[in-house]
Amino acid sequence: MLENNNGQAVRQIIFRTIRFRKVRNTILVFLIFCCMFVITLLGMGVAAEVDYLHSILLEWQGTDAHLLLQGVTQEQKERIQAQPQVRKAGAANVIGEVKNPELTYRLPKLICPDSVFLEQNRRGVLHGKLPEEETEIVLDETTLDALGVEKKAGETVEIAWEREGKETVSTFVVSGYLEMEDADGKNGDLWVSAKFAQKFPGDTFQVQVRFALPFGLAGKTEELISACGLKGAEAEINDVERIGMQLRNLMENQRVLILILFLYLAAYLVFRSIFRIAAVTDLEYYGRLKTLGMSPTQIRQVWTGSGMILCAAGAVPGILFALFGGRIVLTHTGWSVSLEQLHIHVWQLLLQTAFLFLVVRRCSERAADVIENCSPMEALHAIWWVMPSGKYRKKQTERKEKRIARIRKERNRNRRRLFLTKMGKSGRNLPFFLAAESFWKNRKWTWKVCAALAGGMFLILMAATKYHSFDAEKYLRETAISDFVVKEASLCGNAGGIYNERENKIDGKMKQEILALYGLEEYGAVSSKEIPHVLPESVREQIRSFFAGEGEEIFHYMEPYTQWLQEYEKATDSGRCTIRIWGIDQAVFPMLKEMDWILDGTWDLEQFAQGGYALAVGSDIPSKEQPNYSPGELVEIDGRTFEIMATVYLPDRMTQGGSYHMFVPEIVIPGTDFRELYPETSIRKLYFNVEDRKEKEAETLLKSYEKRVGAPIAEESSYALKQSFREECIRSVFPELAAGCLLFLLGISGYINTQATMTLARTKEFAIFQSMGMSGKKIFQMILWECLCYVLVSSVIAVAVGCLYSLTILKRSIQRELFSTGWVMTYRFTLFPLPFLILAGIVAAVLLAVFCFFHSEKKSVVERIRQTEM
Amino acid sequence: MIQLRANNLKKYYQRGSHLIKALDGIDLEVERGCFLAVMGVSGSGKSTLLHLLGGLDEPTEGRVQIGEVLLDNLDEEEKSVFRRRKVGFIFQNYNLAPMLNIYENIVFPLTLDGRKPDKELLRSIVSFLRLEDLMEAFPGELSGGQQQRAAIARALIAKPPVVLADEPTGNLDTIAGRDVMALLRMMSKKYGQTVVMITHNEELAQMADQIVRLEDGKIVEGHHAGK
Repeated sequence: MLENNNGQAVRQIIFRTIRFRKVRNTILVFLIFCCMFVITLLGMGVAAEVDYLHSILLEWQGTDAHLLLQGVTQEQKERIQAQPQVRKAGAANVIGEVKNPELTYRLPKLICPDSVFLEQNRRGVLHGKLPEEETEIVLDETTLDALGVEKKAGETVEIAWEREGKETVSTFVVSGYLEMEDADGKNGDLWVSAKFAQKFPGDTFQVQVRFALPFGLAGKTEELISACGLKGAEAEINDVERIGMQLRNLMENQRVLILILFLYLAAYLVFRSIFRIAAVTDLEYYGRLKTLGMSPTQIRQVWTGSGMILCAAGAVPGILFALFGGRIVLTHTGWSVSLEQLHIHVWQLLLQTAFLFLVVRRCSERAADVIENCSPMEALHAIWWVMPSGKYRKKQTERKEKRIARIRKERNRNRRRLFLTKMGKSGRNLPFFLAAESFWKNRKWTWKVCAALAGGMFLILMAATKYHSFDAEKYLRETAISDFVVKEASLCGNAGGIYNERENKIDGKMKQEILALYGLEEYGAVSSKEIPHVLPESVREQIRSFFAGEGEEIFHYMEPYTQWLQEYEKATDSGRCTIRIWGIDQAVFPMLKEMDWILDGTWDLEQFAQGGYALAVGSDIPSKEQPNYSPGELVEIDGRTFEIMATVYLPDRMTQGGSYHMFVPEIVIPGTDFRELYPETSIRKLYFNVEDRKEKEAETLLKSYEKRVGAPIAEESSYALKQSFREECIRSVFPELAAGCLLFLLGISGYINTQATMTLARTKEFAIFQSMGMSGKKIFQMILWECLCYVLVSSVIAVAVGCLYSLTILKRSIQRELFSTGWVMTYRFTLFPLPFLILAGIVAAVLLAVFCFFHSEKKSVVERIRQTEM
Repeated sequence: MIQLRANNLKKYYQRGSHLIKALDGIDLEVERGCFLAVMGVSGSGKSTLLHLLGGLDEPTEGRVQIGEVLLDNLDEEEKSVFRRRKVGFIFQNYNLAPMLNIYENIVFPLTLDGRKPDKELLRSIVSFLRLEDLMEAFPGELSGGQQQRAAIARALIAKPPVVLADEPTGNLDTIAGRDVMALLRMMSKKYGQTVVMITHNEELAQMADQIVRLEDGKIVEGHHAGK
């Protein structure tokens, strides 16, 4: 093998070719810039949403450790910390259990955490400092709210706590508190100082373990338990850190991820077309280089080198633009994260960029293949729009022979050109027929461009149909129970919060002002309380039967949540569980009249309001058998007995708001009975309707109250819902719209590149026509018709495919609510963007035709006929 | 010593239903340092013969040997390297690279190999072909004759053992044509280069050592020139 491949010649040709083909390369760089920009934007949105969701869940969980162990001894703790598979193990000395009645629902403990434990903390941002003195303590803001203590350092708080059966009340000074951002955590432990802990030497620890990788946590837990003898300890795997949960978070954005992949595919097809056309137009030039001895390897290096340089020139600005400027675009397109939250991980950016480089590299290699497959003489004599027939005859495969047969047939059909010219013998129709024939002859190149153009138009049309199908009236019917809703401040915020029964923001002044509203038509309150309960065997059996039958899917979905499973098993084995009692005023029930909410039994409002009756709350599966009491059964609630009248489904918008428990059967009793049983429990939500002309006044009242309270308590009002609905609509269609616009842009650019190259390469042909008497005007008409062919053919394809898809698949998907937003959609067909897209295409076609014509007219007819140079 | 050998060389093309026999069994041997002129009417296969001899195309049948190397035994990569080192081409339509200036075009075969040009040889060729003032110009800026001279310089700069010239004087005036012929002869004698040249010009053909005539893809006449 002879030695080969000097780099200097390759570099020389790369840079000269890039400069020589400025227009084509500029278009390519611009397309790469657009691709990288859009892909980075979408990637940022996905990363921000996934990480935001993860951070909310972590905040709720309270730690990023993989495994939480309770009841660990000192010796076991040391063994855990010495295990090789354990990357970090934070420990907290458990002093005792907190017994303040306001806090028992969270089961908090008094603990003294070490530094590693504190590192793993995700409960919130610490305001103030960690406890150092004996009397200092750190709590979270939910605990402070529950105890009625102001959120600032220096406040005193009394904590009742129990240790080894002995109860004590201690007074502490708040040295700091944990502020949760969006979610109230399930972990309510109070932190005390080491000095305080020393007074109570003990051998009970909480240990939080983090392994090297979040895979196989169950197996690693078992290994750790057996290696360290942790049989007596309680072990809980942090669901939030399970890889399955993180994948589930990622899959919330699967639509966007699919779109990103689709964009890469579209980019590949368009870039491949551009590179291929570039290779074939430059075939003669590379033929010359081949005759001089440029080897196939060197030619390949030229192509891949050019591709990488152009890719870098487009990708880097695209990324920078997206990171700094494009973020603003995202926040205005309805994504639920704020400007500050928008980010992208370095590995994600590298992966996206590497993938794009791979795509461009592959396209440039395919272009080099085109040149490699010809001998030097075939390349030198190539007529660029007729591909050389293959490298050497002896290497033709059956597929190539078929292609040759097709070309022969084509040439026979070209005899019809005589007929066509006869058709246009007056000269009037000749440009159109020549243009149509040229378009058809070059269909091997043009179908890809038309596909991109049509694909872009199609996506934009589908996005428009989807947006047009969003039905605000339907949405409000489904979401708004009344004109206005005021909810307890603890339920506000992005994650819905966890209802604090002792908050009373709605009671008192707020309620008085609402009742005093002129034009108030009706109002009703909803409250809730969670209490311990024992389910009878019949109910337990029904629950088991439901989750084994109709509710099996729900069971499999919830099973990975350890706490849910534990509570479910405890409820079905021993009957012990927490139930939620809803107290709903009589006036609220008619507001539910639009809904089909009775699952079993007979509903009689008047009879229910008289007292002594309750409703059992079922699931959203319309089955008579529900995981709760059945109609006719009796339920005892804090000493009073109620008969179950019916099984109902309460809308999510009424019951929204989390709990520290995951498996919670629910019972509804009249509001009056609830207030008798639980007079201290505040209103959870207040629903009221006002006359239409008084809506503005009600809005103003609520807004001023929100300012005073410092919380968005009126989020579910019609006026707020309409705004959020619009934002949600935009968000829902943004990915399709972005992809459609990008694809359309790719299509337009590819179309400009293809058409300009083809037209300019036929300058000699046009000169020959002109030498035979064809006027410049006719030449221009021919070029214009060719340019318009792309737009018209693509539009026809887009409309045909779009109408077919829209009237069949899309319509059926919306009617069957297959989209996650399907419940607020009513199918409406539209072609609204089409005229604008066609207009854009026509404008591009006309401008392109003008450019090509005047460019080709720069030289005289004779000069153009004689030209052999590119 | 035989520098260039062709055995039963055939080249056929399929055009629709017709089989075109561009070459139909050529046997040729050219000695080292010999100057061979190839003549024939249009379509007789002269250019095809030249392309096959230089490995620019593959024969339908037959073999080509340059020196000790059989072109059949080389893959595409090896043929490229072989071509840039062992064969100098002069095309009828110059085939200069439009984005390289004249100097870069001339030294391009050496650049591909990572070699530097022989300065003395370069200076003498450029001077002889009157290209000194045109080195920074691009092919598009030159006349046909100037481009042809640049193409000739490019073919000779690497001192290849074989030079294949397709109508090298076609675009040159009589005096320039004679000068080019003289250069080729001088290079042939000085460096022992074997030159195969296609020409229609009888006078220039007589300056060669040997003449062969082609007709319908076959050699119909071969004799020593001027004799």
